[in-house]
This record gives sequence, structure tokens and C-alpha cells, in this order.
Amino acid sequence: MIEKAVEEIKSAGVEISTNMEDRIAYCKDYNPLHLPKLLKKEFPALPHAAAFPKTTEEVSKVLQVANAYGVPVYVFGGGSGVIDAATPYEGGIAVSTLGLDFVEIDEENMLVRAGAGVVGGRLEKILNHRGFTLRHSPQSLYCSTVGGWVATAASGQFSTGYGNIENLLISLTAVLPDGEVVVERATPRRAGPDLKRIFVGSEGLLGVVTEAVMKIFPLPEEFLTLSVEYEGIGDAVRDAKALMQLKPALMRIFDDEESLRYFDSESFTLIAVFEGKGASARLEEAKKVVSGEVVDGRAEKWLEKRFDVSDISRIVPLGFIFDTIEVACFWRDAEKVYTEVLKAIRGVEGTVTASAHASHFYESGLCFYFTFAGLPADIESYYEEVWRKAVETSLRNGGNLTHHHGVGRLRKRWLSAEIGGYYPLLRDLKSILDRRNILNRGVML
Amino acid sequence: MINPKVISRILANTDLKTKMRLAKVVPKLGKADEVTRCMLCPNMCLHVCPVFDAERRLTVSPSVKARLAYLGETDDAIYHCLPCDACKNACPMDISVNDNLRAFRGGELALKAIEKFEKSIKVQTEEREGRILYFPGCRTFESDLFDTTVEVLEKLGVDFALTNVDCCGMPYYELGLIDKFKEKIAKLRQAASRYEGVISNCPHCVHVMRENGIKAAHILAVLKPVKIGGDVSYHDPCILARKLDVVKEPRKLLAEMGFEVHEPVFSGKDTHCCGYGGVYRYVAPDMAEKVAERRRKHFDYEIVTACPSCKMALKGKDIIELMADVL
Ligand SMILES: Cc1cc2nc3c(=O)[nH]c(=O)nc-3n(C[C@H](O)[C@H](O)[C@H](O)COP(=O)(O)OP(=O)(O)OC[C@H]3O[C@@H](n4cnc5c(N)ncnc54)[C@H](O)[C@@H]3O)c2cc1C
Ligand code: SF4
Ligand code: SF4
Repeated sequence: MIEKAVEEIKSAGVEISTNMEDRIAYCKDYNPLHLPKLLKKEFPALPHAAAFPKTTEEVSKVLQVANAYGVPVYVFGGGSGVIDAATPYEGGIAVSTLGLDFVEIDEENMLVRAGAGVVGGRLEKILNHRGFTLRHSPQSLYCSTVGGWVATAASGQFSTGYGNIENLLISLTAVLPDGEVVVERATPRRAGPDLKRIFVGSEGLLGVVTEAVMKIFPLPEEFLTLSVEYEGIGDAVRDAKALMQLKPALMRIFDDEESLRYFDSESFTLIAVFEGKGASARLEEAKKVVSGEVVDGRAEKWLEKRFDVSDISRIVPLGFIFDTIEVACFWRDAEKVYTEVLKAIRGVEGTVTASAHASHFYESGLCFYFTFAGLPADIESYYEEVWRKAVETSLRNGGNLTHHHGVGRLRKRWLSAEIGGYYPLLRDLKSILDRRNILNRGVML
Repeated sequence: MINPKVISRILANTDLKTKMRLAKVVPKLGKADEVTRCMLCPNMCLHVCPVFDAERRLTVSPSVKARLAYLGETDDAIYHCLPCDACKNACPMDISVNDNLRAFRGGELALKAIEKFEKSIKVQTEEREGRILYFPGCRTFESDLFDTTVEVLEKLGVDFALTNVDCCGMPYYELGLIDKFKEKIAKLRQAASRYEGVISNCPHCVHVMRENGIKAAHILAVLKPVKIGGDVSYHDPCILARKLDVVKEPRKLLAEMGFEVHEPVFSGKDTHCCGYGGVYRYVAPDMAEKVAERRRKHFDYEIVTACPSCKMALKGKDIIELMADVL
């Protein structure tokens, strides 16, 4: 079957490879459990082929053929997803969106139309050169794609001021699992239910996003920072809530352990960025509002290091396993979620470090981002236990399942607890759109 | 390296068995080799890699090339690399993917590529005496810059020599054909030893010479401004900007020549390879052209550069040619 499908895709003029090197390139996403396997020279999975369509029509062709033969298809952008989603456990075809890589800037309407495979860092650089910014800046900006952002409902470091990817989206083009192309007219607002939203956070389950039109912003002339220190998480969170009135573009709270790592200080640290028109007045007001002590330079220190994840490369070869768990909660539950989830992670034998920062803020609440590293006797059972305890503690204390990394295979057992009555609706949608269940089989549901 | 306060927190919070495991592994911290560390990275320099940008497959992305080398899959993708070091420039661990992959090359593809290279070079050798050696490098001939350069050097009164050594050995080096490279560089070293130093149009040659103990400078070092004027976009050759640290000099020279110098996206140390660097042209010629085509789109004015390969790839002008027009 797969051989026939590959032949047919090839003869339709779509680039597809069964070369071992291409297959290895698409053997995993960036879920941390894959890394110890690679170190042992084992493949987490292996697709039979990797396809590289260059247009929406070519994506459609791949899906039509895969459907005809019932071949599983796994969608790949940059492969930076961390939730074990696109990993091709059943072989099949890994479809790369990287060939969809055009960028068209519409300065008049402050929009950019980009192919799903455009890599974030490059897009931002091109926009900056023209005096614009997308202000969508996930830590994976340099290695993730536009389509990946939509599919995972990604959130960037400036989301507090500019919103998450769903707030930046104007319109989408996608290919449904049977090959049908759906396009909508781009307008500032639309009639009827906003159905493109079914692709936001659907992790390749319901279709392949092939292009997106997104908002862009002028590069702000003013960029001002604030750093404040506190004795505990409670005061920092209360100040963050008050600061939301002053519209910071970026805000973070680092706990004592992370403050120590970034700033060599054992207090809790809040940093904020105010930018654009009126930024200096808002900063001055912010300094009056906060109850903690204003300190120098911490925001700058973090900004400089914000894309540095090299610790992963240093500790994994020693036998460590690490990961991050991000959950959203209302203000009311913030202290409880922070304290209890950390306690749960620290309580698992093998944990070496566990810490957290709050990374994204809303009028109604915030996201806590927990980071842990363990050196356990058995990596897989340790990892499983940390995840189980952390997620269950979060759900019990008012936190949710995920803020922006998504569900994948890692968190799917808790999805129905999170979305309740929408879970059967999602299942129905999947079975209507993808009758042969070819697309990202095993992800989320 | 690790903050002592972090260590005491770890000790306070960690169970005994884990502490014992920690004691065993801590001495190994930071000792993993660069290929391993790069393979474990989520590709944090993907956005700047010109080969990935042209080929559009993760297979030739920086971290995946390291993965393939680590796994012993060394037939093809590990050769798809320009020695541009855009990765190193962006890497928090200062890792050059290309430097690391060289040790894994030298296979069948290397032999095919070097054959293509050898067939393609046409160098004209001339002899002449002088204080410093002018070593054009093969690409100066390929890009028709040799006669122009000789003319400009003469008009500027530079006392230069020419010798009949034709190759710095860079292609052999990049393809992992190290014995042959050593032969080539030894010959050049021998020739260069008779002069005060060497100048070359080619940043590659200058870099290889410097790395191998030959006193060498890019030809920009001996040029003097002549008044022209106009608007140009300057393309930083990646080796010149990143490996030879020559970023301000060409801009200063162009400004003194009366030019308004415009910056493209990706400039200075953050420049973007033109596609003709190293031996990628002999490994994947279509893709090298694609890198060039994409890079050309970054400019708003006539492209001016200071490297024979970049000049060819970008269909631009070398600063030497601008001078020759008016001298
Ligand atoms: C170091 C690091 C830092 C990170 N920081 C952040 C962060 O700050 N914020 C954040 O939100 N995330 C972050 N992530 C997670 C990850 O980068 C995001 O989820 C990102 O959006 C994934 O994009 P990608 O192109 O790499 O997608 P992939 O990993 O290739 O795919 C992710 C999922 O989306 C699907 N998919 C990909 N492209 C498409 C498409 N075009 N159509 C349909 N489905 C598709 C895949 O099948 C898969 O299920 C981080 C990851 C790493 C490794
Ligand atoms: S060169 Fe550095 S940034 Fe690039 S993939 Fe390797 S480790 Fe990551
Ligand atoms: S040296 Fe250049 S081409 Fe090679 S991996 Fe690094 S950035 Fe890519």
C-alpha cells in the first residue's frame, strides 16, 4: 500500500523521498523522551517516506492519495513541538510543510500572508527590516513555523500585550484530511461562526494549514523595562494583576529558584516591558503601583538570554530528563497552583530541580510555566509520574491542562476532563472530516 | 560554573539515591562533544541556515545534520553545508556545524565533488616579483577579477608579486580530503615564506592561510578610496564578516568613495551566504543557485561586495571593479 501511495504521489509531481536520511530527519518531534533514545542510537519512530509539497494543491494531492490507500500521514513543520504529536509511530508518510514558504507583506493593511512552512525567526527578521514586527515570539521562534504555531495554538513572549497566535490570525487556508481545500476571504472581521478556529490547537488532527494571514505591528520606537523584586509569589502576582491595567507588552514573574539562575538573587522577580506610544508615562505609573522593590537590569538580563536553551544539550548526555509543564489559571487560584504543582513535582523521587515562572498574563489570570529536571533510575517511569502528578494537581487546584504547548499524545488522557462536552464534539468532527483516520493518528484523541 | 547557591538548593531538595547518582555524573558536566550537544538542540539556528532555507527539508538543517553524523548516516546530507557559520553566529554554545561535520566527510560524495571542482578550475599562472604576494585564488579567475585586480593594484602603486601556486586547498579541506589539503597548503606556505605577507580577493583563501600560519590579509587592506558616488547595497561575504571580522572597513571605504551604503536584511556579522561558499556548488549545484537567487532578493540597490564567489552568485560588483571603472 505505502509503496503504491509513494509511487502515485511521485508521479503526480510531488517531491517524496524514501531515503533513510530524510526518514531519520522526520523520526520524532521535540518531546524530551525522544532524546535519550537518540543518544542510544535508537529511532523513536520512522516514517516510510517524507513528502515535501510546495503548494496547497500538492498538499491536497498527498492527502487524496493517502486517503485512497489508507496510509497514515503525520504533519511536520519545524518539528519543535514538545508533546509527542507528529511522531510517526505507524510509519506512513511524514508531510513537511516547509516547502510552503512565501512571505507577502501588505504594509497598507498591516498584514502578512505567509506559507505554513515559513520559519518564525526568518519571518520576524524580514518584517523588522521593513519596520514591522509580528510580536509573536515563542522561545522556539527560530525553529518553529507559521503552520505549527496555528496547529498548536502557540503563545509568544509578548502575548500579554499582543495576544496569542489566535488573536493575530486574520484568515487561514487549510486542506482537509480528504484533500478538500478550505479558504476564506480575509477581512478584519467575518460573518457567522469563526470556523477557522477549529484548526487553532487542532495539532494536525483536522487538516493541514497551508497559509495564514496575520496582523503585523510597527516596530515600537520606545522599549522600556521594569524589574521588581519580592519576598514571595503572592505579592508578585497581586502586582502583576494591577500592572495589567497599564498594558505591559511582556510580563514575567520568576520564582526564587529561577531568579537565582538568571539574576543570582533568591527573591522573586517580576519583569515587564512597556513599549510604543506613551510607554514612559505607563512605566512611571507602574513604578508607583508596585509594592515590591524596583531593581536594575534584570529584564535586560533575561531578554538577552531568552532564546538560550543550551542547558538541555549539557544535561541530557549525563542521563537527565527535563521538561516544562505550562498551565493557565485564574488570579484566584494562582498561589495554590504554583505552590501545589511545584510540591507535586519535587515529591517525585529523582527530581533534581523544579521551578516556575509566570509567563503570559490576561485580565482574568495567568500562565505558570514549570520546569523540572530529574536524574532518575528509570527515565520513562519517572517522567510519567511527574506528568501525572503535576497535571492532576493542576486540575485539582484550579489550573488547566495546557496553556500553549498542546495536548499531543502526552496529555490526551486528561483532555475530556478539560473540555467536557466539547470532547465528543471534537471526536465527531474528526470522524466526519477524516473518515479513514489518516491524519496524525493517535494525537489528542 | 554552577552557582554555589543553586548547588546547596539541589542538595537540600534531592533524595539520597538521586544525590548518589548526581555525584557520579556531575564530573562529566559539559564534557559531551559538540556533535552530541548539537544533535540534542531543537535547531535554534534553523532560521539563519541558508542551506536549509533553500532546500526546505529538516534533513539538511543544522541539528539534524549533527544527528545524522552521530548516527553514522554520512552519505549525503552532511555535505549539504556552506562553511558560512551562520549557525555558530547564532548558537549559544558557539558551535559551527560545518566545522564538526568535516571529520565525517571524505566519502564517495567527496571524491565526486572534488572531481567536479578540479574540472571546473581555470587558473592562469603568472610570475612577478614584489614585496607582498598577491594570491588571487581560483575563484578570482572564475569571476574574471584577476586582470582588473592587477590593474587596480598597479594603479594604486602596490608593490606585489605573483607566483604559480594555484590553490589554497579549501575544497579538499571542506570535503574532508585532509591529506590532499595538507599538500596544497604546504606548497602555498612555501611560496608565501619569501614575502612579507599575502593578499587575496578571496576571503576563503585568506582564512585558510591564516588558519595555517600564513600571514595573509584581504585585498581591502591595500585599497584606497577613489571618488565615485551613488547608491549601493553592500553584501557582507560570510567568511569576511564572520571569520575575518572585516565588517566596518568595506563600508568605510565605500563611504569615502562617495557611496550611500544601504543595508540588506541579514548584514554585518548576521549576513547571509550567497550560496557559492565552500563546495556546496559541487555537491548540490541547483540548491547553491537557489541560495543565490534567494539572497539576491534581499537587496534594493546595485549589489556591491568584496569576494569573487559572492560577486558571481549575486551578479553584483566587487569593490575592485568599481575602482577599476574610474582609475
Ligand atoms: C525550546 C523550545 C521552546 C518553545 N517555546 C514555546 C513557546 O514559547 N510558546 C509556544 O507556544 N510553544 C513553544 N514551544 C513548542 C513548539 O515550538 C510550538 O508548539 C510550535 O508552535 C511548533 O511549531 P512547529 O512548526 O515546530 O510544529 P511541529 O513540531 O512540526 O508540529 C507541532 C504539531 O502541529 C502539527 N502541525 C505542524 N504544522 C502544521 C500545519 N501546517 N498544519 C496542521 N498541523 C500542523 C503537527 O502535526 C504537530 O501535531 C517550544 C519548543 C521548544 C523546543
Ligand atoms: S549550531 Fe548551536 S544553535 Fe545550531 S543546532 Fe547546533 S547547537 Fe543548536
Ligand atoms: S555552516 Fe551554514 S550551511 Fe552549514 S549548518 Fe551552519 S548555517 Fe547551515
